[in-house]
Amino acid sequence: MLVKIAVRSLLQRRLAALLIIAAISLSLMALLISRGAGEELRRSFSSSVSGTDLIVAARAQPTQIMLYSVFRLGTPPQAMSAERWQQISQLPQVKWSFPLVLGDSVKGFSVIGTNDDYFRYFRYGDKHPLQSSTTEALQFGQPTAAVLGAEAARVLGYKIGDSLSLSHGMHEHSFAEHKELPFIVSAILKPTGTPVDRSVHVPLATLEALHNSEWLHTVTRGQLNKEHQHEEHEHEEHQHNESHDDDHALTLAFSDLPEPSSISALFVGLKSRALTFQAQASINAAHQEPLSAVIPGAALTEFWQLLGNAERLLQFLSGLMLITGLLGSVAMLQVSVAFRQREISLLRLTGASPLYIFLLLESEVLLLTLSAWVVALLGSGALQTLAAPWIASHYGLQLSSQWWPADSLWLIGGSLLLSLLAGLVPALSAYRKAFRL
Amino acid sequence: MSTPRLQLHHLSHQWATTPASSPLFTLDDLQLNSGDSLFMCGPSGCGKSTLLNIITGLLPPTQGEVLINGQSLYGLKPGARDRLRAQCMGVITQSLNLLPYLTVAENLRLMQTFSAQKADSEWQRHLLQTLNLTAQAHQPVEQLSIGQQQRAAIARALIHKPSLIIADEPTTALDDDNKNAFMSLLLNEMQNFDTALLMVSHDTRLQPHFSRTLDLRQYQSAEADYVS
Repeated sequence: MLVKIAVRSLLQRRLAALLIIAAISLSLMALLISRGAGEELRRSFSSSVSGTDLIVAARAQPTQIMLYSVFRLGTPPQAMSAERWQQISQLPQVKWSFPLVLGDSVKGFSVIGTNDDYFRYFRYGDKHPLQSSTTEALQFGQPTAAVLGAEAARVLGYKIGDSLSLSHGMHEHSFAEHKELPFIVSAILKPTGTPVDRSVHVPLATLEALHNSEWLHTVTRGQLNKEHQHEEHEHEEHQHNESHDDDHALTLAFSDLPEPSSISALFVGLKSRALTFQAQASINAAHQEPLSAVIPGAALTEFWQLLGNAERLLQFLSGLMLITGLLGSVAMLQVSVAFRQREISLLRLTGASPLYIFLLLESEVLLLTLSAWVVALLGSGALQTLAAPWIASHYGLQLSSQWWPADSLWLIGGSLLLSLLAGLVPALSAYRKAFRL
Repeated sequence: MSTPRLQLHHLSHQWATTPASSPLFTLDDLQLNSGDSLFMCGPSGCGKSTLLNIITGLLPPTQGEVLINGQSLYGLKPGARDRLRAQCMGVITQSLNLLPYLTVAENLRLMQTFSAQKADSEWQRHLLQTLNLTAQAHQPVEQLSIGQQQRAAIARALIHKPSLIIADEPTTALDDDNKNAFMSLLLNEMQNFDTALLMVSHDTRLQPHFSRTLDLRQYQSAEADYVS
């Protein structure tokens, strides 16, 4: 009977009640989504690289090395020499390795200079290998081949066979373009939900050559100049005649390119995981050149602790929003108590105790919060389900939709308790009114 | 003769703000037996509502005793007092005698819940039929006319067969036709079981319906007197 009266009483004030439910459910949704997105972000971050035992780069903070080598954020402050790369890749513990050269971009998408081992050994998520979205093989068949991440290809509108030129630096509107040597899209990767989607992969040796002005001068005076002049013409033509491109490309062979002198980072797979600390120590200790060998898992954990602060701030703000919503519901009920003097008198006259009046008001607060939870759970579930494809394509983060987020029982219990506390205000004033008739 | 339904002994009340020498009213002895109907009148501010609050157990008097069926009302703990009111009294006020968002039947059920009584559907059907409310039983109260609402108030005041009916200006919101219909219904129904009626009104035209009259104005001074 008590709950029935509470429900009917709220229905009587349904507009105000709906507004309050909207306010509380919005703050609950913010809370759920910030928690959910935080967890998903963490998961997505930790799945951006897997199977790599060490990432070696010039000495720097592990998080900084992770940022540029895995997340393509920032540029490497220093390079490591090609000699050390060769030495490390030939260490007895090392099973495989591939180099990365970073620093250039294509219209805002970062360019990765690497070799075919990248496509062979790079793993993400649950040890997934990279896959080609078409039948084209994942390898640099020629020095000017470019393999595009799914997102980069989609946004820039490149298809296989299109040509693209790199810009120096990471700015989207960089003026320093490497127009001398355009690349041809040779393959497009399947979406991975990792920063790979936003990367343009080119052969390491070609990228090195582009930055070697001496070499460029001698070579571009030759046939490359010709290719540059024909760029527009070629772009239209290759759709009809792919072999035509090959004629141009064949003029430059891997053997024509200079040997790379330095790289940005080296991804290393060891023969056994047990060797990780041993290998890390020997690389860190070697005194020829200051290097850092980073264990990705450990660095990600450290990195996440940094981001955790931002997550906590977000949760704190959603907590504040929840309190705002609850205060709103308390304000509404408090005002309603003033208007319900007669209703309270009536209940008292029919024999209701002041405690009954108190419980009635508390039930109303509880009902408001419970309805807000239903709305919030449905809303955040629907929102995450609907937004997941968009977030995956725009931020490279794969969110799995959650209708019933983990730990939400604890959250629901806590917020109900909080609403009972907040409900004390109108409930107690109704209780007092119940004595003064 | 059975126990009086209501007895007031040396009852006086004064608000904390008024000087100690001038109580609002003093009633030395008032007794209502089953079948009695008392018409209480007096100008605004003479303490009618205060007296009703004291009799219904909502306001402890400064002095004196209230007995309901011989039971001292203020000798009980507050919770027991609430239960006694729910079981033994039927209260009708000027308006809003029923929760507007419940149906008539639900309001009656609520009253029975508070008075810890089982639903007596036979009695409820009889009441609603007599009060011409059968068609409105399952309508929310707010959809009823004022006359229907006050008739439903009678039903609510009688559903648990109380020993004392207390009515506070129940006819103010009604027009003359409804007023007379209301009075005859109330007085007829209360004859059906052992009950007494105490009604407050300043409409002296209703006085002939009652067996006794009490003008509270006469008890405003410190002197005690008898009921005429």
